[in-house]
Amino acid sequence: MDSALITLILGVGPAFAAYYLTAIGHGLFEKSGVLNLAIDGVFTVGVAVAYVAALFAGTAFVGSVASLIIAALFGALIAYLTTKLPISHGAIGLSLMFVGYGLAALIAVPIRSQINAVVSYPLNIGADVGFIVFSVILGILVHYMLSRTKLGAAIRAAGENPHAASALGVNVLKVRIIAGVLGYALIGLGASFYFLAYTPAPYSEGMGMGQGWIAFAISLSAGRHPLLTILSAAVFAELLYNKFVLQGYLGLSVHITKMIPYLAALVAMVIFMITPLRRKLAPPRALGKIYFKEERTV
Amino acid sequence: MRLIVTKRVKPLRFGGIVIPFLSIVIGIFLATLALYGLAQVPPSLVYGAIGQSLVSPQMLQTFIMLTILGVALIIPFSAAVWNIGAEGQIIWGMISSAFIGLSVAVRYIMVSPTELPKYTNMPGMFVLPTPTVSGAYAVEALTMSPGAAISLMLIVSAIAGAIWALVAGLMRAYLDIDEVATTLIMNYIAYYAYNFIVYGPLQGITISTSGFGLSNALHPELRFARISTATTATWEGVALMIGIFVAAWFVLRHTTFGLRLRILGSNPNALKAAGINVRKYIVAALAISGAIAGIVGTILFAGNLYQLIKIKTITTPPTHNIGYTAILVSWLSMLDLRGIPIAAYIVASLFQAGINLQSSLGSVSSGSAMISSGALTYVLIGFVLTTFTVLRVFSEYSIKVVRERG
Amino acid sequence: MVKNLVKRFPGVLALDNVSFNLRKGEIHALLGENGAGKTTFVRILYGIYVPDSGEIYIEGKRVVFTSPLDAIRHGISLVSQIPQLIGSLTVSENIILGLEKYGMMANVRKVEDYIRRESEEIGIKIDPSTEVWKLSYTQKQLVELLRAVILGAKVLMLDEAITFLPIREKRRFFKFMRKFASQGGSVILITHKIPEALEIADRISVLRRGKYVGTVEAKAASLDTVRKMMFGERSTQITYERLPSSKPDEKVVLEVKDLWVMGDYGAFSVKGVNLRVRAGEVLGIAGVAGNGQLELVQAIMGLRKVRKGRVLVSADGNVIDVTNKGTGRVRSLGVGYIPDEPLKFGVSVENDIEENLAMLPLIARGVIKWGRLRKRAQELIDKFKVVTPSSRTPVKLLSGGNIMKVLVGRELSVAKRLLVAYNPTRALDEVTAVTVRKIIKDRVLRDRLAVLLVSEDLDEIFQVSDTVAVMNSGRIVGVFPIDKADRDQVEKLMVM
Repeated sequence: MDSALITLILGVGPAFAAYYLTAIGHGLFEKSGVLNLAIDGVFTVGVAVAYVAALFAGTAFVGSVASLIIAALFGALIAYLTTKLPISHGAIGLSLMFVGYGLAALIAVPIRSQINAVVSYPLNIGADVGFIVFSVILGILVHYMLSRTKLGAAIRAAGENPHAASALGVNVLKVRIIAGVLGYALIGLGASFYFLAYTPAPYSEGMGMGQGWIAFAISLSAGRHPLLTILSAAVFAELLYNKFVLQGYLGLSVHITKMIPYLAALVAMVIFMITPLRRKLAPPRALGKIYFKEERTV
Repeated sequence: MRLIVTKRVKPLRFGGIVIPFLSIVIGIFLATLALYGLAQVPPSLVYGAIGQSLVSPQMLQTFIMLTILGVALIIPFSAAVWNIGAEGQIIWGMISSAFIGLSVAVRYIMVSPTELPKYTNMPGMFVLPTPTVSGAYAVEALTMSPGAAISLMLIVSAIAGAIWALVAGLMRAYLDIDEVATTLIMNYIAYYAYNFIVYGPLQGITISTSGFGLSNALHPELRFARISTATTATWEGVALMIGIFVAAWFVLRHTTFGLRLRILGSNPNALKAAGINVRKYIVAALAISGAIAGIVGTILFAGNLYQLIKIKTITTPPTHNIGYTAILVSWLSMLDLRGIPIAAYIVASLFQAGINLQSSLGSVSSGSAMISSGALTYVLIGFVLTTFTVLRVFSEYSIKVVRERG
Repeated sequence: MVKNLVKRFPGVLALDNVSFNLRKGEIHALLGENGAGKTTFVRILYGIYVPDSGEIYIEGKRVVFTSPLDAIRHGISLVSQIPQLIGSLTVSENIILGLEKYGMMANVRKVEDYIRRESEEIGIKIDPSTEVWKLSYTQKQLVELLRAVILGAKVLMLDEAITFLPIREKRRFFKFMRKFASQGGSVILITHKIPEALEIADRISVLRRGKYVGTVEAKAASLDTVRKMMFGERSTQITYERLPSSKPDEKVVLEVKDLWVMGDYGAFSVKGVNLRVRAGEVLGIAGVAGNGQLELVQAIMGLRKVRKGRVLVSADGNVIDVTNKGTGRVRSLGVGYIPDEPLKFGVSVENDIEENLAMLPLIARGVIKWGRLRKRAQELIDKFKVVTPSSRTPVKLLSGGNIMKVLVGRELSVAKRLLVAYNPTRALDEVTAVTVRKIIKDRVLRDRLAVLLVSEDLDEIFQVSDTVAVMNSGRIVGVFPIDKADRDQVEKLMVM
């Protein structure tokens, strides 16, 4: 095989890892029934945290860990608020999105203006492959957990019908917090890869904004299924990473090319809802519904 | 320790005023904490910036646009249809009104440099400031009266915004696809389409615009009239704001359409049993919302920018993300039309505060001075909105903390 | 054993000093009319409700339940008419969620084998790896039973759980229940079908209007004795004065032909129903709740899909097929609708009376003329004596009875040809209920309105109807003109 072609395909590794992990983290959390609109905000914070932490520790690894932890805290908060209180998921999600955008700038910009160094993961073909393998393994673990373990069944139950789940013996609050922590940890990890491996250019304000939504679209296009998301993440990552090549082949304007991932996401969503895929890959029935335990009267 | 949450029979008295007010106070406090703790921004600067913005004429334009957008969003929000795509709808409004203003309402006359003086002061002619690639100068000549042109711009932008929103509406009504995701994704598509058009069909023809991602400048007679030199607000903008507000008031309070939209938000089942086609209402709510947002695009283009400027980074569109801040306005107003102007005033002030704060940071530490006004606004708005979302629960539910008896 | 349970709900005394005891190894049937308090009773025993006073003892020890998990831990299980399972999960996944001995990371597959073995022991042949949504209603109920057994139930409470099952399946459940009892378990079976109770139970207890009536040995009881306990002396007398009968016109306003409608849980709720309602006639459908009446009414109104059959409405000499054409179409023909669950499907509680009127296309279109609307609202308030501060008060602040009045008033004013009513006088006091019935009957007599009345209150049916039909298990099992309708016989048909 042409070595240029290999580089083309595998070079997408870090991008793939970033989007894929964020997407499955998002999917995991939403499977527990919480509408996750804060994803872009927390992703942006994750990028900022990864940058700063890596800089001060000197290794990219610390950046990833820090980002993971901060994101997980957000996840726990969102899970707690939406389950304990009858709060609109959409409202809290968008609010935290704004907060995230702002906090990211507060965290990273002052430092950026004073320090010029950049710490990143190694960037070579070996690393590229490493990222792909690592994230796919994580994806497989998530899939196993969701489909084969009691915890996974509990998470899905909370997402389909938290009232019935509670009657069946599930502690809905506990389960949603776990989903929030694990899901957002993955999002934080993905965000850190985005900065530390995919675009380790000097940090600029607002870095990462909009990428969370791409991951959101990736997850939706694959019906929130951890393994199917490999496919959609790969396609999106290739489109984004190799857009110049695509442009050349198809003769499209660069702007149209940038649109393609989003158009693809819309098309994918429509395809689900009109095909029998709907049953298997449908959104969790209780997604976004306020969970309020009223005294049930006759 | 357990929380017992029970639904109130009557909403909290004065909750409609106390809760937004409290959220603002607490939210600003939290924001100040974050600003100080993370970026060493002195709280005094924050309060100063906010105080200043409450009375600054510069925020008037933002206030006008937020009021209109607040109305635009209240219509679908009352029906529990969440239009997060105002950004995209505004963008298409800008594009379509630019299309009218720059290529339908005017024609271009190519003039050699020697003939230029003849046209420089001719009424109705607008000479583009820099020459074209060929060396000739381009002169914009009106093809219709300014009144007709502006009316056309408004109509076209409303239609464009409505169509853009309609897509998401149809997907929700007939395919049950969540409109939050679709309207959001369509924002990004709109951004890229905008850039495509700015570099393509509406590309400027002079050496300073061609290839630079700028369109031609709008003919002065098509521009909205500024109220005064101290502000970017325009008379047309004010007129539109009042007109749209009154129209919305009428529709929501005095037509069956408005009434049923509101019932759709609280009890869609009763509506279905009454024989109403709920799907049509969902689509209509989004279309109307998009139309109004589209009009805001014209206000931006013909009132402020006068030309289309490329989007450099996805985080700094020409709308300054007003489509998102408008969501906060609708939310803060507790979906009551009367609350919109007040909420718009507050949010516009916070927006302006971000700008003021940014400029005052220059005199303090050099690190935080690099933070954009947008980010500062996000901090302020974000904390207020989060606090509001949590406190709002209290207006409809009473929460008691109970010690678990061992 | 249960002593003196009292439970109050807003406006209703559901259980009035009810005492009950259950022996080990017995099958005890609990019977009663609608609203007798049977469901409330078992829900207290399962920890869903907390009683206002009274005590529960298990094997001599006092117990207090604050949640279903407590009840399960003490070996009490409840299976309701509606399966409480999560459709997209498999059978084993649904069951494992309640098994506390397995940790979070337990592999479901391993538990599946255990479940498979247990289910075979009981005689249930369902593959535990199947997703629940694929199962039929019968199978879902079997899974519920399986779950109860695996969770270690010693007391099994079945709340109308087998009412909808075909006879053959019921016999399987009976077999299982006998085996369960012989192994020391106890069963409380709630049903309204007396023959069933006589066949399977050891003892029968009856509740009536929240009070405990008595317990008899099944062997010593007969259909009539039990029926008298359930319905009281009223079963031989009619306590309310009958409203004047109307002589129906020849013209048929509503015709339902061979209607088949699917219920929510995968089984047909309406199985080939044929009905005719003529102008100037009240057709009253009697029956115990849950026999398909709700689905029938919803299908007629266009709120539920009709799988087979036709719904036809006559208007101005034309017969219009409204099957599956949507609620708007049906309503536009001048049809009023008083739904079951008025708070969910009838009125919008966040809005006021005027707005609830304007909601209907039949009352207001386009621009709302508030002046006219206010007058109309005021007329309604006066006519029905609605207690409300004003016509602009949100409906949720009104008492249940007054909300009902608003709904009935509104629908009566828009019903030109046909009124479809489900429990129209629910939550109304006796005086108002009779007034409402009188007003309805008046419209029938004078304006030749056709009325399809479904009611769980047999008194109401007999007071208002010109023709009485009985619905049982999705079918019409008897139609009688009022002068030929025998109360005993109707009751028999209801509980067969």
